[in-house]
Amino acid sequence: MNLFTSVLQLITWKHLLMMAIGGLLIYLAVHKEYEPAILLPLGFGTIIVNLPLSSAIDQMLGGQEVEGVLSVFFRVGILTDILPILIFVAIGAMIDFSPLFRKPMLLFFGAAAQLGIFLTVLAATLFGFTLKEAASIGIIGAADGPTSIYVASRFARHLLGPISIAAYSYMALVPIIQPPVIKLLTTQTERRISMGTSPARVSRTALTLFPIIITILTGLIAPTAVALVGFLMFGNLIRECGVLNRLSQAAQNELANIVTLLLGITIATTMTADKFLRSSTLLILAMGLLAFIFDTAGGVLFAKFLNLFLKNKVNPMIGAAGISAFPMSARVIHKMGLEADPNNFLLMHAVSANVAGQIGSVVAGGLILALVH
Amino acid sequence: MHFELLRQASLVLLKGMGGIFAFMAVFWLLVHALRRIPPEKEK
Repeated sequence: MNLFTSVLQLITWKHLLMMAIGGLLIYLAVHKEYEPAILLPLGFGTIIVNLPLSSAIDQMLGGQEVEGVLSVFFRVGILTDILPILIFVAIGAMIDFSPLFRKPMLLFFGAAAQLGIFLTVLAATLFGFTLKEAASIGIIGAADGPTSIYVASRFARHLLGPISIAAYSYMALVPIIQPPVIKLLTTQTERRISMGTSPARVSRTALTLFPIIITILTGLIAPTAVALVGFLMFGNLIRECGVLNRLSQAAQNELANIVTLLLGITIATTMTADKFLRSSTLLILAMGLLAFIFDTAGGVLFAKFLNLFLKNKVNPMIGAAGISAFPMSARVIHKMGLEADPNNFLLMHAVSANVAGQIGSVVAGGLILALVH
Repeated sequence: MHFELLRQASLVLLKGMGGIFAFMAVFWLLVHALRRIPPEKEK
Protein backbone atom coordinates (compact mmCIF):
# COMPACT_ATOMS: atom_id res chain seq x y z
CA MET A 1 0.00 0.00 0.00
CA ASN A 2 2.89 2.32 0.83
CA LEU A 3 4.59 1.65 -2.50
CA PHE A 4 1.28 2.23 -4.32
CA THR A 5 0.88 5.56 -2.57
CA SER A 6 4.42 6.65 -3.32
CA VAL A 7 4.08 5.75 -7.02
CA LEU A 8 0.85 7.76 -7.19
CA GLN A 9 2.62 10.71 -5.64
CA LEU A 10 5.31 10.55 -8.33
CA ILE A 11 2.84 10.88 -11.22
CA THR A 12 2.94 14.34 -12.77
CA TRP A 13 0.85 15.94 -15.51
CA LYS A 14 3.71 15.20 -17.89
CA HIS A 15 3.42 11.46 -17.22
CA LEU A 16 -0.33 11.64 -17.76
CA LEU A 17 0.08 13.61 -20.99
CA MET A 18 2.61 11.09 -22.31
CA MET A 19 0.26 8.23 -21.45
CA ALA A 20 -2.50 10.08 -23.31
CA ILE A 21 -0.15 10.38 -26.31
CA GLY A 22 0.49 6.63 -26.04
CA GLY A 23 -3.27 6.11 -26.01
CA LEU A 24 -3.65 8.34 -29.05
CA LEU A 25 -1.06 6.30 -30.95
CA ILE A 26 -2.93 3.10 -30.05
CA TYR A 27 -6.19 4.73 -31.19
CA LEU A 28 -4.63 5.75 -34.52
CA ALA A 29 -3.25 2.24 -34.96
CA VAL A 30 -6.43 0.36 -34.05
CA HIS A 31 -9.23 2.66 -35.14
CA LYS A 32 -7.67 4.47 -38.10
CA GLU A 33 -5.27 1.63 -39.05
CA TYR A 34 -2.36 4.09 -39.47
CA GLU A 35 0.72 1.83 -39.64
CA PRO A 36 -0.63 -0.32 -36.77
CA ALA A 37 2.37 -2.68 -36.74
CA ILE A 38 4.64 0.12 -35.54
CA LEU A 39 2.31 2.68 -33.92
CA LEU A 40 0.61 0.20 -31.60
CA PRO A 41 3.83 -1.13 -30.00
CA LEU A 42 5.11 2.46 -29.89
CA GLY A 43 1.94 3.66 -28.20
CA PHE A 44 1.88 0.88 -25.64
CA GLY A 45 5.60 1.30 -25.02
CA THR A 46 4.98 5.01 -24.39
CA ILE A 47 2.57 4.10 -21.61
CA ILE A 48 4.99 1.55 -20.12
CA VAL A 49 7.98 3.91 -19.99
CA ASN A 50 5.99 6.78 -18.48
CA LEU A 51 4.77 4.88 -15.46
CA PRO A 52 6.81 6.22 -12.52
CA LEU A 53 9.60 3.84 -11.43
CA SER A 54 8.81 1.63 -14.43
CA SER A 55 11.04 -1.44 -14.39
CA ALA A 56 10.91 -1.48 -18.20
CA ILE A 57 13.54 1.26 -18.44
CA ASP A 58 16.72 2.02 -16.51
CA GLN A 59 15.99 3.57 -13.10
CA MET A 60 18.06 4.88 -10.21
CA LEU A 61 16.78 2.98 -7.18
CA GLY A 62 18.42 3.41 -3.79
CA GLY A 63 21.42 5.08 -5.41
CA GLN A 64 21.95 2.14 -7.76
CA GLU A 65 21.15 1.97 -11.46
CA VAL A 66 18.80 -0.90 -12.24
CA GLU A 67 18.63 -1.95 -15.89
CA GLY A 68 15.25 -2.05 -17.61
CA VAL A 69 14.52 -4.49 -20.39
CA LEU A 70 13.47 -1.84 -22.94
CA SER A 71 16.62 0.17 -22.27
CA VAL A 72 18.64 -3.01 -22.84
CA PHE A 73 16.75 -3.63 -26.11
CA PHE A 74 17.50 -0.02 -27.10
CA ARG A 75 21.24 -0.37 -26.47
CA VAL A 76 21.47 -3.76 -28.16
CA GLY A 77 18.96 -3.29 -30.97
CA ILE A 78 18.97 0.39 -31.94
CA LEU A 79 22.34 1.80 -30.94
CA THR A 80 24.09 -1.09 -32.69
CA ASP A 81 21.82 -0.72 -35.79
CA ILE A 82 20.84 -4.39 -35.55
CA LEU A 83 17.05 -3.90 -35.66
CA PRO A 84 16.95 -1.31 -38.50
CA ILE A 85 19.38 -3.43 -40.53
CA LEU A 86 17.32 -6.60 -40.02
CA ILE A 87 14.19 -4.78 -41.15
CA PHE A 88 16.03 -3.84 -44.36
CA VAL A 89 16.57 -7.55 -45.07
CA ALA A 90 12.83 -8.07 -44.66
CA ILE A 91 11.92 -5.09 -46.86
CA GLY A 92 14.41 -6.21 -49.51
CA ALA A 93 12.68 -9.60 -49.62
CA MET A 94 9.36 -7.82 -50.20
CA ILE A 95 10.48 -5.60 -53.10
CA ASP A 96 9.90 -6.68 -56.68
CA PHE A 97 12.26 -4.68 -58.90
CA SER A 98 10.85 -6.04 -62.17
CA PRO A 99 8.56 -3.01 -62.80
CA LEU A 100 11.71 -0.86 -62.97
CA PHE A 101 13.11 -3.07 -65.73
CA ARG A 102 10.03 -2.33 -67.80
CA LYS A 103 10.51 1.45 -67.55
CA PRO A 104 14.04 2.26 -66.29
CA MET A 105 13.56 6.00 -66.83
CA LEU A 106 11.27 6.05 -63.80
CA LEU A 107 14.35 5.43 -61.62
CA PHE A 108 15.00 9.16 -61.79
CA PHE A 109 11.71 9.90 -60.07
CA GLY A 110 13.08 7.98 -57.11
CA ALA A 111 15.79 10.64 -56.98
CA ALA A 112 13.67 13.74 -57.61
CA ALA A 113 11.16 12.85 -54.91
CA GLN A 114 13.90 12.86 -52.27
CA LEU A 115 14.09 16.65 -52.62
CA GLY A 116 12.06 17.02 -49.42
CA ILE A 117 14.82 15.41 -47.37
CA PHE A 118 17.47 17.90 -48.35
CA LEU A 119 15.24 20.99 -48.39
CA THR A 120 14.05 20.09 -44.89
CA VAL A 121 17.65 19.77 -43.68
CA LEU A 122 18.09 23.36 -44.82
CA ALA A 123 14.81 24.48 -43.21
CA ALA A 124 15.65 22.77 -39.91
CA THR A 125 18.96 24.60 -39.63
CA LEU A 126 17.02 27.85 -40.01
CA PHE A 127 15.06 26.88 -36.90
CA GLY A 128 18.22 26.46 -34.86
CA PHE A 129 18.82 22.71 -35.04
CA THR A 130 22.40 21.50 -35.42
CA LEU A 131 23.35 20.00 -38.77
CA LYS A 132 23.15 16.44 -37.43
CA GLU A 133 19.75 17.08 -35.87
CA ALA A 134 18.59 18.77 -39.09
CA ALA A 135 19.77 15.77 -41.12
CA SER A 136 17.85 13.40 -38.84
CA ILE A 137 14.72 15.53 -39.22
CA GLY A 138 15.15 15.85 -42.98
CA ILE A 139 15.36 12.09 -43.41
CA ILE A 140 11.70 11.87 -42.32
CA GLY A 141 11.17 12.87 -45.96
CA ALA A 142 12.60 9.53 -47.04
CA ALA A 143 9.07 8.26 -46.25
CA ASP A 144 10.87 5.19 -44.99
CA GLY A 145 10.66 4.47 -41.26
CA PRO A 146 13.70 2.20 -40.91
CA THR A 147 15.97 4.64 -42.80
CA SER A 148 14.76 7.47 -40.55
CA ILE A 149 15.48 5.40 -37.45
CA TYR A 150 18.87 4.32 -38.80
CA VAL A 151 20.03 7.90 -39.47
CA ALA A 152 18.47 9.39 -36.32
CA SER A 153 20.01 6.70 -34.09
CA ARG A 154 23.43 7.78 -35.36
CA PHE A 155 22.97 11.54 -35.44
CA ALA A 156 20.30 12.51 -32.90
CA ARG A 157 19.25 9.70 -30.55
CA HIS A 158 17.41 12.18 -28.32
CA LEU A 159 15.06 12.97 -31.21
CA LEU A 160 14.37 9.36 -32.16
CA GLY A 161 10.86 9.33 -30.63
CA PRO A 162 9.31 12.29 -32.47
CA ILE A 163 11.19 11.43 -35.68
CA SER A 164 9.82 7.86 -35.68
CA ILE A 165 6.30 9.07 -34.97
CA ALA A 166 6.48 11.65 -37.76
CA ALA A 167 7.99 9.18 -40.25
CA TYR A 168 5.41 6.45 -39.68
CA SER A 169 2.39 8.72 -39.20
CA TYR A 170 3.00 10.69 -42.38
CA MET A 171 3.60 7.46 -44.33
CA ALA A 172 0.13 6.41 -43.26
CA LEU A 173 -1.20 9.86 -44.17
CA VAL A 174 0.15 9.81 -47.74
CA PRO A 175 -3.41 9.53 -49.19
CA ILE A 176 -4.25 12.79 -47.39
CA ILE A 177 -0.96 14.69 -47.85
CA GLN A 178 -0.18 14.02 -51.52
CA PRO A 179 -3.41 14.72 -53.49
CA PRO A 180 -3.74 18.45 -52.64
CA VAL A 181 -0.08 19.10 -53.48
CA ILE A 182 -0.41 17.20 -56.78
CA LYS A 183 -3.63 19.01 -57.69
CA LEU A 184 -2.01 22.35 -56.94
CA LEU A 185 0.89 21.63 -59.30
CA THR A 186 -0.90 19.90 -62.20
CA THR A 187 -3.74 20.69 -64.57
CA GLN A 188 -6.65 18.37 -65.30
CA THR A 189 -5.21 17.81 -68.80
CA GLU A 190 -1.87 16.74 -67.34
CA ARG A 191 -3.57 14.36 -64.92
CA ARG A 192 -5.31 12.74 -67.91
CA ILE A 193 -2.05 11.87 -69.69
CA SER A 194 -2.03 8.14 -70.43
CA MET A 195 1.29 6.29 -70.42
CA GLY A 196 0.25 3.06 -72.18
CA THR A 197 1.48 -0.34 -71.08
CA SER A 198 4.89 -2.00 -70.96
CA PRO A 199 4.28 -5.71 -70.38
CA ALA A 200 7.75 -7.12 -71.33
CA ARG A 201 8.90 -10.10 -69.25
CA VAL A 202 12.10 -9.75 -67.23
CA SER A 203 14.93 -12.28 -67.05
CA ARG A 204 15.29 -14.09 -63.72
CA THR A 205 19.09 -13.91 -64.15
CA ALA A 206 18.88 -10.12 -64.52
CA LEU A 207 16.77 -9.83 -61.37
CA THR A 208 19.29 -12.00 -59.47
CA LEU A 209 22.30 -10.05 -60.70
CA PHE A 210 20.67 -6.68 -59.96
CA PRO A 211 20.99 -6.70 -56.13
CA ILE A 212 24.55 -8.06 -56.26
CA ILE A 213 25.81 -5.45 -58.74
CA ILE A 214 23.93 -2.61 -57.01
CA THR A 215 25.64 -3.51 -53.72
CA ILE A 216 29.08 -3.57 -55.32
CA LEU A 217 28.49 -0.28 -57.16
CA THR A 218 27.21 1.37 -53.98
CA GLY A 219 30.26 0.14 -52.09
CA LEU A 220 32.53 1.63 -54.73
CA ILE A 221 30.72 4.99 -54.90
CA ALA A 222 29.64 5.56 -51.27
CA PRO A 223 30.92 3.03 -48.71
CA THR A 224 28.82 4.62 -45.94
CA ALA A 225 25.67 3.49 -47.75
CA VAL A 226 26.73 -0.16 -47.95
CA ALA A 227 25.07 -1.28 -44.72
CA LEU A 228 21.74 0.26 -45.78
CA VAL A 229 21.77 -0.73 -49.44
CA GLY A 230 23.65 -4.01 -48.92
CA PHE A 231 21.18 -5.52 -46.46
CA LEU A 232 18.21 -4.33 -48.52
CA MET A 233 19.75 -6.01 -51.55
CA PHE A 234 20.63 -9.13 -49.53
CA GLY A 235 16.93 -9.54 -48.74
CA ASN A 236 16.12 -9.00 -52.39
CA LEU A 237 18.69 -11.56 -53.51
CA ILE A 238 17.08 -14.15 -51.21
CA ARG A 239 13.78 -13.36 -52.94
CA GLU A 240 15.02 -13.40 -56.52
CA CYS A 241 17.53 -16.26 -56.51
CA GLY A 242 14.67 -18.74 -56.74
CA VAL A 243 16.22 -21.42 -54.49
CA LEU A 244 15.54 -19.88 -51.07
CA ASN A 245 11.80 -19.51 -51.13
CA ARG A 246 11.47 -20.64 -47.52
CA LEU A 247 13.99 -18.04 -46.33
CA SER A 248 12.39 -15.40 -48.54
CA GLN A 249 8.99 -16.11 -46.98
CA ALA A 250 10.54 -16.11 -43.48
CA ALA A 251 12.18 -12.72 -44.15
CA GLN A 252 8.94 -11.25 -45.53
CA ASN A 253 6.79 -12.56 -42.70
CA GLU A 254 8.37 -13.83 -39.47
CA LEU A 255 11.48 -11.63 -39.56
CA ALA A 256 9.54 -8.52 -40.62
CA ASN A 257 6.91 -9.10 -37.93
CA ILE A 258 9.27 -9.82 -35.04
CA VAL A 259 11.65 -6.97 -35.85
CA THR A 260 8.81 -4.47 -36.41
CA LEU A 261 7.31 -5.43 -33.06
CA LEU A 262 10.64 -5.03 -31.27
CA LEU A 263 11.46 -1.83 -33.15
CA GLY A 264 8.21 -0.13 -32.14
CA ILE A 265 8.31 -0.97 -28.48
CA THR A 266 12.06 -0.32 -28.22
CA ILE A 267 11.83 3.17 -29.72
CA ALA A 268 9.27 3.92 -27.03
CA THR A 269 12.28 4.13 -24.69
CA THR A 270 12.82 7.62 -26.12
CA MET A 271 9.20 8.59 -25.47
CA THR A 272 9.70 9.59 -21.87
CA ALA A 273 8.20 12.94 -20.81
CA ASP A 274 11.59 14.63 -20.33
CA LYS A 275 12.70 13.72 -23.86
CA PHE A 276 9.41 14.18 -25.73
CA LEU A 277 7.65 17.14 -24.14
CA ARG A 278 9.76 19.86 -25.69
CA SER A 279 8.97 22.62 -28.14
CA SER A 280 11.31 20.91 -30.62
CA THR A 281 8.89 17.96 -30.90
CA LEU A 282 6.19 20.12 -32.48
CA LEU A 283 8.76 21.64 -34.83
CA ILE A 284 9.93 18.16 -35.85
CA LEU A 285 6.37 17.04 -36.57
CA ALA A 286 5.77 20.20 -38.64
CA MET A 287 8.99 19.78 -40.57
CA GLY A 288 8.31 16.12 -41.25
CA LEU A 289 5.07 17.19 -42.93
CA LEU A 290 6.97 19.82 -44.89
CA ALA A 291 9.43 17.13 -46.06
CA PHE A 292 6.58 15.01 -47.46
CA ILE A 293 5.12 18.05 -49.23
CA PHE A 294 8.49 18.98 -50.76
CA ASP A 295 9.01 15.34 -51.83
CA THR A 296 5.71 15.32 -53.67
CA ALA A 297 6.37 18.70 -55.26
CA GLY A 298 9.91 17.66 -56.25
CA GLY A 299 8.65 14.54 -58.04
CA VAL A 300 5.80 16.30 -59.85
CA LEU A 301 7.91 19.28 -60.94
CA PHE A 302 10.69 16.99 -62.19
CA ALA A 303 8.14 15.10 -64.32
CA LYS A 304 6.85 18.39 -65.73
CA PHE A 305 10.42 19.42 -66.51
CA LEU A 306 11.05 16.12 -68.33
CA ASN A 307 7.88 16.63 -70.35
CA LEU A 308 9.47 19.71 -71.91
CA PHE A 309 11.83 17.36 -73.74
CA LEU A 310 9.95 14.06 -74.05
CA LYS A 311 7.99 13.04 -77.13
CA ASN A 312 5.88 10.56 -75.18
CA LYS A 313 4.79 12.64 -72.21
CA VAL A 314 4.87 11.33 -68.66
CA ASN A 315 1.87 11.86 -66.42
CA PRO A 316 3.40 14.31 -63.89
CA MET A 317 1.54 12.64 -61.04
CA ILE A 318 3.87 9.65 -61.47
CA GLY A 319 6.67 11.84 -60.10
CA ALA A 320 4.91 12.02 -56.75
CA ALA A 321 5.06 8.22 -56.49
CA GLY A 322 8.87 8.48 -56.33
CA ILE A 323 8.72 8.44 -52.54
CA SER A 324 9.36 5.28 -50.57
CA ALA A 325 5.89 4.84 -49.04
CA PHE A 326 5.02 1.61 -50.84
CA PRO A 327 2.41 0.85 -52.10
CA MET A 328 0.31 3.70 -50.68
CA SER A 329 1.75 6.35 -52.95
CA ALA A 330 1.33 4.24 -56.11
CA ARG A 331 -2.29 3.56 -55.17
CA VAL A 332 -2.97 7.26 -54.57
CA ILE A 333 -1.60 8.17 -58.01
CA HIS A 334 -3.52 5.36 -59.70
CA LYS A 335 -6.75 6.54 -58.04
CA MET A 336 -6.13 10.16 -59.04
CA GLY A 337 -5.46 9.04 -62.62
CA LEU A 338 -8.80 7.22 -62.69
CA GLU A 339 -10.55 10.28 -61.25
CA ALA A 340 -9.14 12.40 -64.09
CA ASP A 341 -10.01 9.81 -66.74
CA PRO A 342 -11.73 6.49 -65.94
CA ASN A 343 -9.65 4.77 -68.66
CA ASN A 344 -6.28 6.00 -67.40
CA PHE A 345 -4.56 3.08 -65.67
CA LEU A 346 -1.35 4.39 -64.10
CA LEU A 347 -0.80 1.66 -61.50
CA MET A 348 2.14 -0.16 -63.18
CA HIS A 349 4.01 3.09 -63.84
CA ALA A 350 3.29 4.42 -60.36
CA VAL A 351 4.52 1.15 -58.84
CA SER A 352 7.77 1.46 -60.86
CA ALA A 353 8.33 4.99 -59.57
CA ASN A 354 7.43 3.84 -56.05
CA VAL A 355 10.01 1.01 -56.22
CA ALA A 356 12.55 3.56 -57.45
CA GLY A 357 11.63 5.62 -54.40
CA GLN A 358 12.45 2.67 -52.17
CA ILE A 359 15.96 2.54 -53.60
CA GLY A 360 16.19 6.34 -53.61
CA SER A 361 15.32 6.70 -49.93
CA VAL A 362 17.96 4.20 -48.84
CA VAL A 363 20.58 5.82 -51.07
CA ALA A 364 19.58 9.23 -49.67
CA GLY A 365 20.06 7.88 -46.14
CA GLY A 366 23.54 6.67 -47.09
CA LEU A 367 24.37 10.03 -48.68
CA ILE A 368 23.21 11.93 -45.59
CA LEU A 369 25.51 9.76 -43.47
CA ALA A 370 28.37 10.48 -45.85
CA LEU A 371 27.77 14.23 -46.22
CA VAL A 372 27.03 15.25 -42.62
CA HIS A 373 29.91 15.25 -40.18
CA MET B 1 28.04 30.67 -36.96
CA HIS B 2 24.48 30.56 -38.22
CA PHE B 3 25.64 31.54 -41.69
CA GLU B 4 28.23 28.76 -41.60
CA LEU B 5 25.50 26.25 -40.65
CA LEU B 6 23.33 27.43 -43.54
CA ARG B 7 26.26 27.13 -45.90
CA GLN B 8 26.85 23.56 -44.77
CA ALA B 9 23.16 22.68 -45.10
CA SER B 10 23.07 24.19 -48.60
CA LEU B 11 26.08 22.07 -49.54
CA VAL B 12 24.30 18.96 -48.21
CA LEU B 13 21.30 19.91 -50.39
CA LEU B 14 23.38 20.36 -53.54
CA LYS B 15 25.68 17.39 -53.02
CA GLY B 16 22.81 15.21 -51.81
CA MET B 17 20.56 15.84 -54.81
CA GLY B 18 23.53 15.66 -57.18
CA GLY B 19 24.67 12.43 -55.55
CA ILE B 20 21.30 10.76 -55.68
CA PHE B 21 20.81 11.62 -59.35
CA ALA B 22 24.32 10.31 -60.07
CA PHE B 23 23.46 7.05 -58.26
CA MET B 24 20.25 6.69 -60.22
CA ALA B 25 22.06 7.37 -63.50
CA VAL B 26 24.44 4.49 -62.70
CA PHE B 27 21.52 2.24 -61.75
CA TRP B 28 19.72 3.28 -64.94
CA LEU B 29 22.71 2.20 -67.02
CA LEU B 30 22.86 -1.08 -65.09
CA VAL B 31 19.17 -1.80 -65.65
CA HIS B 32 19.57 -1.10 -69.38
CA ALA B 33 22.53 -3.50 -69.51
CA LEU B 34 20.64 -6.21 -67.60
CA ARG B 35 17.59 -5.81 -69.82
CA ARG B 36 19.68 -7.25 -72.63
CA ILE B 37 19.58 -10.64 -70.94
CA PRO B 38 16.69 -12.48 -72.62
CA PRO B 39 13.95 -13.82 -70.33
CA GLU B 40 14.20 -17.55 -69.61
CA LYS B 41 11.78 -19.82 -71.43
CA GLU B 42 8.85 -20.85 -69.28
CA LYS B 43 8.88 -24.56 -68.38
